[in-house]
Amino acid sequence: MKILVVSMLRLGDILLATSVIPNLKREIPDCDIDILINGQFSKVSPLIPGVRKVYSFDRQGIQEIIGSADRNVLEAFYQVDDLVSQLREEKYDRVINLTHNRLSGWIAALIGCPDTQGVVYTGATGFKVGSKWFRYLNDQAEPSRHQVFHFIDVFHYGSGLKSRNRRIELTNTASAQEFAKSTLIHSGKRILIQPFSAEKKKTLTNQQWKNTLELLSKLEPHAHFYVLGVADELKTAASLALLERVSLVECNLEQAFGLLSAGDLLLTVDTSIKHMASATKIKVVELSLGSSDYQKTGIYQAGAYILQPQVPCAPCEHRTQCSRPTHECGNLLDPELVAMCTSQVLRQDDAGIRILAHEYAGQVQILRTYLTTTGDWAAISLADPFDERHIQSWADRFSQKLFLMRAHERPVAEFGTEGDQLKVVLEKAFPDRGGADWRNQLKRIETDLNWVESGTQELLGELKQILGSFADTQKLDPFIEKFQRFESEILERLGLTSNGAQISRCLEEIRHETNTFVIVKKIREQLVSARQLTNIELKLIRGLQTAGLGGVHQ
Amino acid sequence: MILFKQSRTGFQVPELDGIALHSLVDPVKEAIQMVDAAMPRLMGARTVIVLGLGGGFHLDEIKRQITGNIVVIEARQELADEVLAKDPRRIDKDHVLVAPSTEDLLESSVLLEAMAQKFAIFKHAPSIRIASSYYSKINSLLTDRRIEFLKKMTLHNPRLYSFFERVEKSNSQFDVRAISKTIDLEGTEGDTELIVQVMRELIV
Repeated sequence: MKILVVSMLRLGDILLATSVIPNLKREIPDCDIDILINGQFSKVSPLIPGVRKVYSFDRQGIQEIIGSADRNVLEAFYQVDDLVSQLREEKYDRVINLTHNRLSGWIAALIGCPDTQGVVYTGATGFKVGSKWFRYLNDQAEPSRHQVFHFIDVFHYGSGLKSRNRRIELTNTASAQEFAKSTLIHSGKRILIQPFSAEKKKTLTNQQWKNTLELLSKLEPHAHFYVLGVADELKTAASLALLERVSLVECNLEQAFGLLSAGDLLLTVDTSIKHMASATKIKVVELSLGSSDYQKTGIYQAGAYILQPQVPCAPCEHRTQCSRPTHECGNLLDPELVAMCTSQVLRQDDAGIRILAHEYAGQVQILRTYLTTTGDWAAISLADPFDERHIQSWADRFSQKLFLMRAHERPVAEFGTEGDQLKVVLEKAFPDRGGADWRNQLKRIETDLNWVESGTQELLGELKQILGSFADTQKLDPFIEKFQRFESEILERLGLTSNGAQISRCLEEIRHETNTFVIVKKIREQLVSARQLTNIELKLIRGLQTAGLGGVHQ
Repeated sequence: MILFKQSRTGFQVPELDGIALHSLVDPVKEAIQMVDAAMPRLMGARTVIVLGLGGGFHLDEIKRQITGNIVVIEARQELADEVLAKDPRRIDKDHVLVAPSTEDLLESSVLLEAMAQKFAIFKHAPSIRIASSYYSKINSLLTDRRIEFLKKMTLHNPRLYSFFERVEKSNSQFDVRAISKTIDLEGTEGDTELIVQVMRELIV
């Protein structure tokens, strides 16, 4: 079987997409896997194991031809045409498009493989995304404001993979190992620092880094610090090199992976180096700043820590400048906090980190990453308030998964395993709570969900009444108003859950729709989904009530 | 007037009107550097259209690095005659288009065949400097985005030719943004249209 995996965005996205390759190999043992990536990042190719051929789409080159009056525009046409011809000649049995944009949809259409997962342009019917998981990805285009799945998990399920183990796997080449050996020459713990980001808002100021390293150096007097970067980046950080036990290390991707494989801890912002680290056993502290959306692209590793400043604008939009007068999220990341947390992670002082999390609660969220036994990634805040909203947000995420897996359509639904995992996550998030506390909260959530359930039933009943006369705006308009009120009440009572978010999106879509039939159809689909999702969540919550959360069985 | 001078490395370098067309120190090394710098553009081309024959050192290097054909456009007949006479194996003389007018150039089946599939343009800077007004006209022709010219250029590519015929009714220029608005892409799965959409997506 020949499979093409398509990832046409940036380096980080390519690394995340490669996570499906090992499992494709395991689940379809005789398959050949090729990848199509953005040519700008083809230097990552030697690091990706299990790939037969790497195809590059020369995005920059083609853009340059189209944009330059001094180039023949046919050259651009032929570049695309030639690549497409090569890909077609491969006669792929399956194409998995993990790039969620129109460009990749056009290219997937040109490749013309009948079994295409992910975005593909289909002619008369426009773009289709295939799996419900890819539709879910489409719905998560905005920065995350509630619990959502990590991209690696979405890619995994969207690609139809079953295995519980999933992670990025990369090759540590002999030359990279040699480079690491000759670079990490100092005694003591080896702490790698990745302070550079293409987006200014995703990192700290030089002064903040300097202060952090000074403090960390005092906390870890026997450690040595290696600041990683390319030549241009390192030039901007010359002041760090003046600090004691700090070395600036110029390295390429391959060499960086060698260092990560041999280092003890990585302190990093949201970069491709972070994703590479997830393919190693190095301890990681991630600073999630600016548009960094840790829920979707956080460090995919168990036992790593993420520091997320608590500002209402986080995460912000990609590729836009910080909209605030000052870099609020960056300012909240106190060098003392970063240094102390990093030191405690290095020393595996979990209790100390939890104390720190409570001390900084409301200012910076400290999250610990975790992989459930079903293989899903989760980042659990160490000091979330024990309230209905936070508990419900986890229940919501687990329900969403069962919904996407269509568990509710099967005669015997797999609620048990997910229910057990939900219990584990909740007990990790709130380890000190007793049975009575849990009973009270779960009861409240159950009441709210019952209210949502009856609300959707009622609206569906009313919709049925107006189905025969949906063109009559006198009947439809009051119904839409009621649907809008329902959305507001959900958001008020439950916060931004999957149901609330989906209903909001539905309202947004119908706002621009003039065809009343389409409006009615969309609302109906949304209400049916909301009811199914609520029923799943109710089952999970009821399961939790009898599962003995907090050590007390009902 | 053409003279040949020997480079320090022993190669015959043509000098046109007193200007050497290659390095008089090491023309081969210079050609390697020139072609290396252009390689990202040339990679994968079925034909490289070279503006300027010079002494042909750059042709040798292009041939060494890519498997495709070469078509040369040269301004000076006497230079072409002398260079091809010195080493006829360097390039098929039918692939050297000497001093055609811009109109004639678009009648050349050698060039049109080259433009019917993936091609790239390599500019030999010293040749262009010597006959700048000629090459400027050629360059303008080769980069012209008017549909009428593109139709001529794609005469040997029926798929593209018919696409340009189709869009010609509503567009005078190949502006992918404008074209993808005027042609009916919705519901079409034609390859050419889809490729134009890919190009459009890259500039949006």
